[in-house]
Formats: sequence, C-alpha cells, structure tokens
Amino acid sequence: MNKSPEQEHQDVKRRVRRHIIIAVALAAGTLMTIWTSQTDFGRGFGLNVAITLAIAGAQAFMVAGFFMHLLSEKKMIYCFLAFTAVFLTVMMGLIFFAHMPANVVHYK
Amino acid sequence: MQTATHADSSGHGAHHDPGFWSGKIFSTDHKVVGMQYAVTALLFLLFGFFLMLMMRWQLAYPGHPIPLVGKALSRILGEDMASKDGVMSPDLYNSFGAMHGTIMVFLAIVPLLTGAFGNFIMPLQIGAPDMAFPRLNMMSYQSYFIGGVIMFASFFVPGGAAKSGWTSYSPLATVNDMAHHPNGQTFWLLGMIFLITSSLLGSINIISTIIQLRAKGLTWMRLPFFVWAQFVTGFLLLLAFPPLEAAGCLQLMDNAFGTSFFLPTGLVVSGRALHVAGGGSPLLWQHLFWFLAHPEVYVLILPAMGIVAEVIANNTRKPLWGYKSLVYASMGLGFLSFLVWAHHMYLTGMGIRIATFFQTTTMMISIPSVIILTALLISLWGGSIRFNTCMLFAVGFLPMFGIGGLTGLPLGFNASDIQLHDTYYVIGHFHYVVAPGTIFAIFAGIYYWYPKATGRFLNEFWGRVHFALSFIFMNLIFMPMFIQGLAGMSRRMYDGGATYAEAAGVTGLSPFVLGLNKVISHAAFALALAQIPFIINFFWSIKHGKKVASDNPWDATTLEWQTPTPPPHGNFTKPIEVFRGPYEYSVPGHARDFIPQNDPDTSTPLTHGHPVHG
Amino acid sequence: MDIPYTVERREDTGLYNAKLGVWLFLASEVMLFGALFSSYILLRVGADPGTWPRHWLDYKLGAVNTIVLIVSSVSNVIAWANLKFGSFNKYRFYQAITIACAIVFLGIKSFEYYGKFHHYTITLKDGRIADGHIQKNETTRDKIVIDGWWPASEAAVMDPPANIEEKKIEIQSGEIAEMRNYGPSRNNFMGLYFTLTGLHVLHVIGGILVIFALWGPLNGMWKTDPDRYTNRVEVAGLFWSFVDLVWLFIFPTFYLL
Repeated sequence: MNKSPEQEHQDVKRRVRRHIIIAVALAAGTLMTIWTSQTDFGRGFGLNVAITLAIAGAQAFMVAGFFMHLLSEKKMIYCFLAFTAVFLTVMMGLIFFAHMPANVVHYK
Repeated sequence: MQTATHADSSGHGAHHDPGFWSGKIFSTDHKVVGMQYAVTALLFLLFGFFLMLMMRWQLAYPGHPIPLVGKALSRILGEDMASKDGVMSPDLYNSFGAMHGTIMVFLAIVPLLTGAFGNFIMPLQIGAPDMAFPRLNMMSYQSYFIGGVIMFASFFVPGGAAKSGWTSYSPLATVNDMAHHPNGQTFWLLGMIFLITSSLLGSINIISTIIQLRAKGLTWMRLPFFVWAQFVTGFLLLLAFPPLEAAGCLQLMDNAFGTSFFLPTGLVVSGRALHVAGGGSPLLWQHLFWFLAHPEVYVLILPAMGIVAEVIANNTRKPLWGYKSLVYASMGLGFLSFLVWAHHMYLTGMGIRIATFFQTTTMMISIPSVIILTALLISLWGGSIRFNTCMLFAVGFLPMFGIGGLTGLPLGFNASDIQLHDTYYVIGHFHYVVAPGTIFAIFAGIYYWYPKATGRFLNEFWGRVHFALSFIFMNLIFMPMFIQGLAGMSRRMYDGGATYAEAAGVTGLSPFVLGLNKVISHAAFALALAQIPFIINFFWSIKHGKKVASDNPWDATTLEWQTPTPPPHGNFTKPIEVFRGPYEYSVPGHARDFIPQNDPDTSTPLTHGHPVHG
Repeated sequence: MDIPYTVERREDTGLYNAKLGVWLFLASEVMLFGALFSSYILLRVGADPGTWPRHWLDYKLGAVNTIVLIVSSVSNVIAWANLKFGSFNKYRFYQAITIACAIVFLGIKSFEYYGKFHHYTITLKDGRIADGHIQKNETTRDKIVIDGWWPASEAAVMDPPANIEEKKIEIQSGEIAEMRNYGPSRNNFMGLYFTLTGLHVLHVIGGILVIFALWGPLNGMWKTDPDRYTNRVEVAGLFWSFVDLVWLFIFPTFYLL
C-alpha cells in the first residue's frame, strides 16, 4: 500500500469505529425484538411475528453486509447468493403454500 | 503446436516419490482421487446390480430358493432374512429394494459422474494443475468411503438394512424395525449424512475450480460442454442436498431420540398406540426429501449429457450444433429443477392450485431437456462419424434418453399420474433415463478416456459386444415394465404382483402381464453376463491393451488431450493459454480436421465458441 | 505447477479461492438452516391449538447469548482488520475476546440444556400436574423432590404465566402416573429447539476450534506467509459471522415468538 503508517492507523480506527457502531445497532435490535414480540400492536400475533422477524432480517443484513463485507464484494458473489435466497424462499414458500388449508384436499 | 512437455524435464514430478500411502491412499491429486471414486463407485454399481438380480429372481420365481447364493444369504444374514434353503423373505426383498436404489443413486452414479469423471477430467479440460482445494477433495472421497462402509454395514445390523424404500418415507421408515436400536434405518441415515457431506464438499470444489482456475483465454463460452454440465450440477448438489441433510437429521432424531417430527398424533403400530408426542407431519418429510431428490435426477443426467456431447463432437469431426443453446438450456434445466419437486407427491392430497403449479413447471422443464437432446441429435447431421465403441454408447444414449423423457410426460400430468403413480411404469421411466441413459454415457466416457488415463485402448471388439448385448437386454428389461405399469402392477411387491392376479370374476393382472416378470428377469441375468466381457476388458487392457500412438489418440480438441499420458502431477508443466473454442473440428482450409484449443496457429482467425465457417 | 489464486485475487471475480469456497459453503448452510426453519414454520402453523408451547425458554438468557455472539462477531472482524493492517498483537487481543465470548456462549447453552433435561412435568395418578426442576440431592427412589409449581391444567403447562412462585414439592413415587422432561422428545417445539440449537452449537464449536487453531498453534504462518494467514483468518471469520447470523434468527423464533 502507498499509505503512510499514520494513514493506515487512521483507516483501522475508522473501520473499527464503524464495526462497533454496527455492533451497537445489532444489540439495540436484539432489545427491540424483545419489545416487539411482547407488545400488543392490536392486529393479532401475526403482526408481532412479522415485525420481529423483519428486525431480525435487518440485523442479518447488517452482519452480512458489514461484518462479512458483502457490500464491498463484486457482483458475482451476491448474484449467486441472490439465487440461493430465491431457492430458499421457493422451498419455504411452496411447502407452506402446499399445506395451507385451502390447498389441502379434505376427505369427509 | 504448444504441448505440455514430458514429466521428466519439468523437475516437478521428479522431486519426490510419494510412496503407496501418500501416493495412492492419502493423495490429494485430483486424478488419484478421481480413480479412487471410480473404483469404489464401480464396485458399488456392481453390488447394487447384484442386489437387483436377487430381487429379479424372486419376482420371476416367487418362493423359490435363490440359486448359488441363497443358502449363503441365509447363513450370513440369518433365517428371518432368508430361509435355510435360500428363499428370500419379504423383509429381505424390501431391504434389497431400498438399498438398490440408495446404492445406485448415491454410491454409484453420482460418485462416478462427479467424483470420478468430474474430478479426473474437468481440471484437465480447463487447463488447471489440480482442483481448487485438493485436500478437501481427498476428504470428500474419504467421507464418501465412510458413508459407503456404513451403508454396507447396515445389512448386518439386527433387523437388516433399511427397508422403507430409497425414499425412506415416514412414518414407515421410523416404525420399521422399531424393536432394534440402532437399526438399519439408523445406519442409513448416518450413511446419508456422510454421503451428503461428501457431495457438498465436492460441489464446492467443482464450482470454485471452474470459476477460479480456468486457464488464460478460456472464457466461459469456450468451455467444453462437459465442464458446463459439471458446473450446473455442482450448484444442484450445493443447494439441493442441505434440505435432505436437515430432513435426515430430523428423521434420525425420530429414529433414535423419540421425537416425532414426521409422526402424526395418534399413530397406531401393530395394534398399539405409539408412545410419542405426535404432532408431526409425514408430508414434511416428503417435501424435504423431494426438494433434493428432484434436482438429484438432473445431477444424474447432466454430467452424462456432458460426456455424450464430448464423445459426439469428437467422433463426428464437427462442432456441436447449438453450443449456446446447450449452455443456456443446461442453466435453465438446473434452475427449473428446483421448482418441480411435488410432481412426486401428486397423490398426497394437495389442492388443485398447488398441483397445477407443479404440473406447469414440470411441463416447462421438458423444454430445456428436449433442447439438449435435439442439439446432440442434430450434431450428428453431416458428420463424418466414427462408430467406435464410445460413439456407439453415446449415440445409443440418445434414443434411450428420449424414451425415458417421453415416458415421463404422463407422469408429469397430475391426471394421468393418478393411474401410473407407484406402478412399474414409473420404474420403467426412470430406469430408461438412468440405465440405458446415464450408464451408457458412463460407459462411453470410460471407453473414451481410458486411453488418457492408462495409455492403452480398451479392446474394440469386446467393446462392441458389450454395447450390443447391453443395449438389447436393457430394452428387454425396461420396455415390458411400461406394459406392466399401465396394467396397474404396483411397485415394491415381493411376490411380483401374484396377489393381484386376475381370477374368475375378479379383475387383476393378466397372466401375460405377470409372465413378463420372467422375461424381465431373464433379460436381467443376461445383462449381467453381458458385463463380464467389459469387466475382463477393463482389467486386461491396463497391461495388454493396444498402446496409444500419441497423447491425443482420438485427435481431439479439448485440453485434456494436450497432456502427457497419463498426466503427471500438476498436469500441465507450463501454464496453458487457450485461443479458440472447444470444438474446432473440420475447419476449412486446414490440413488436419481438428485444431486443439491451445493451438495459437494464427492462420485461422481466433474464434469465440463457433468456428468461422457456417 | 502451483494452484493459482490461493492468495492473490483473480481479476474477474475479485476473489481468492478460499473466499469463494467459503461463500459457496455458506450458501449451502443457508439451505440447511433454512430447511430446518421451514420445518419449524410448517409444524407450528399446522399444530393443533393448544399443542404448541410458548414461554418455555428463558429469553433473558437467550438475549445475553445474543449479545455475547454479537460481541464475538465484532471482535472477530476487528481482529481481522488489525491483521490486514499488520498489527499482529492487536489481532491476538481481539481474537482472544472472540474465543472467550464463544466459551461464554457455550457455557450458557450448557446451563440451559442441563436445565431442560432436569425439568419435569409430573402427572399424578389423581390427575394433578406438577412441574419443576428435579432437586437431585433430595430425590430418592421413593420420593421425587422438585422445585416448581402446580399448573391448573395441561394448557397452563403449555403457556406458563410470567412470574411463577416456585416452591419445594415432594411427590411419592407411587403417586406418579407419568414423568416427562423438557428434552427433545417432549414435543416438536423442544425437538426443533434441540435440533436447531444443537446444530448451531456444533457450528460454534467447529468455528471456534478453527479460530483458536489459527490464533494459537498455527499462528506461525504469520511469519512465513502473512497474506495467506490473513486470508485464512478472514475465511474463518466469515464462517463465524454466519454462525452469529443464524443465531440472530434462532433467538427471536424460539425465545420470543
């Protein structure tokens, strides 16, 4: 690298600071999920599930994007991970869809 | 012409002689690992075939002692498995059936296609010195080997091997042999975990190698189709296997730790309520199983198509027709294969909407299949065809795969599947694709690449005998099964359907249909005999086969033929550079009818995937 | 010929081999844990009313474990960043935090598992239900002593109230009709809890062993081939962050919802 030692030192400090901010955000997210899972938002338990898992998803995005530096990788890696996400969704979605009461033949 | 120089002058092969243990047993060289896979998988192929021969005896002559091995079976496995005079018990029949499927799919075909051919040939074809992760490669083989040992050992466990089909449906898989802990099913599940791990590690290696280690100038559209096939297959293995691993863990918990993930509430076994918490879903097992097992069948066919493509291009002396279509079709096939799995579950009571979804995707997936088959067929047109043994098998593959594919259509439609599900029609369909399909492609590959690995040809005459007899008998075995299936004969029946024979006033299976059991079985025995010349040829030719006159005896264009024979450790002594596409055969204006990929000869304009002539 | 791109990155992909390899592996792990989460969703949604328990896990312990893993993940990344910029000692310091956090996580998990295996629901012959943790030092062959409460019905067992006053309960062995602990065979919730967290624990152990091996016995490579060593640390770190990511879903799914 062509940077001076002080510049490199600053780089590390900046990175470390950013990582710590993300970590604090993650911890805050965890505490938030405790709250969102227990508070009654009035629209049924399904809403609690949706909000809580959305926060978990956001936490996952932060871990993947920053700690796993996915956001700084080239296109190939996340194209391929996007595929995985598609198949995962298909698997979960279709299995669930196949089992919804409207979709199951009931014998009287 | 740029060729890799001989091993002696490189200094690389000369610096150490690894000895037996690190050279042959714990080697990380992809060619050695490939050979280990090949030998082990061929042995399992034979073993799986042998299990079926015993089953076919029982089907043709129900209740008759099995000749030659019946008494030995009884002594080794116990009298509840085979009676003292050698008659197979229903339990033994079921366990042979379940293990035949498991062994053929997971211990023979997939390891041959990806572990043997994939490992040995692919790095050579992309100009790489080895796989991206050689030690991981060695460990993949070892995991496969351990899985194989566990599967084989399961025959000797109290209660016998797993006997609930290769599909291992719960609750039967969990309650069968419940009295024994651990039982054959426990071993099956443990074995599957090792086999799945092996495939996962192998697929990571294959994908990484193809992406990262292609030689300079080897762009994606200059890859031999065999490499594309291995690449797509790698993704199928990578993403489809883990759900089965998860399901296997869950079923293992049911089997060994009393959970009830797949056991519904209120299950009664042999008159007694099962003492489990209940609340489980047998359908969940089926979804997770078929989520893998459908892509798995494309794992069984794609590399085979890759092999056939290489052999056809080489022996027609012209480029493959529709290279781009082949590539995009194989990618489409891989992608769609994840979306069709519940066509194996049409009879589970799914609603119309979801069944229609899967029926639609199933019909769609026939399109890329047909594109690939058509492209390979059209590739023959106008070719200067050499009908050597490998080409016979490759060309034989085409109509056989065609029959297999076409007979899949009535199974893919929900309505007709109601009649055909779980009948011998299904057995005929999938065996056409895998037996005279994939296995023919494997034979083609063996006859084609044997000279590269050993420096000698397999005997041509006996090769043709092997082909002709195998072709005839495979058709005699599997064609009658369509008739039996359409007549309503169910799968997995120990007595060959005799219970459902028609009688006075009772509709059932006609004597003709039941009589086909004997035809099929005799053809199976004959098929076994037809493999003997091949086995002898395989071993005899290592030392006594006709020697190759050059490193490229088939005058092929792809890079694996530009190495010494057999390729040394490191494969290419100088970095390879690629200048043209993979099938530069019969390029006009050239003295020779082929130009190797790494030939920089500037008299021909450098090409992309297609040669310059029309 | 040596295998190219083991250390330097290939231009068109921007990756060295092991990084591609580990991302491929993580994709397969996504499908593995995803299949288990799918199973959870299916079994829970399909469960008959009243058969799926709630509030059986201590969410405070789970939250502590979540924070512990987050800390370990960030210390791991900081450790790698320091290594990338050449500060080996800072790397050793932060990675030690990672390893310590992993040990704490495993300790808390062991405590939780132990608790579950020693927590029993006892149905008496007269129909009453007792529920609590076995006091091993006072239990004999004739009587079982638990620290627990008397749920009014099976429904109360399935969804216990938040603040239970636990007291010592003595039950004669002859009175017992059935004893069920909170192990994997109790019901599908516990079965999935143990399967998913058990698989996760195996990944924690595997991951931390690799991180420890690189930090400790195998750190000589820093002197001989620092770039390769840094890459190995990065790859192990990617796996470790993934392990954290999976827990971020396990915690709300099992402990909160």
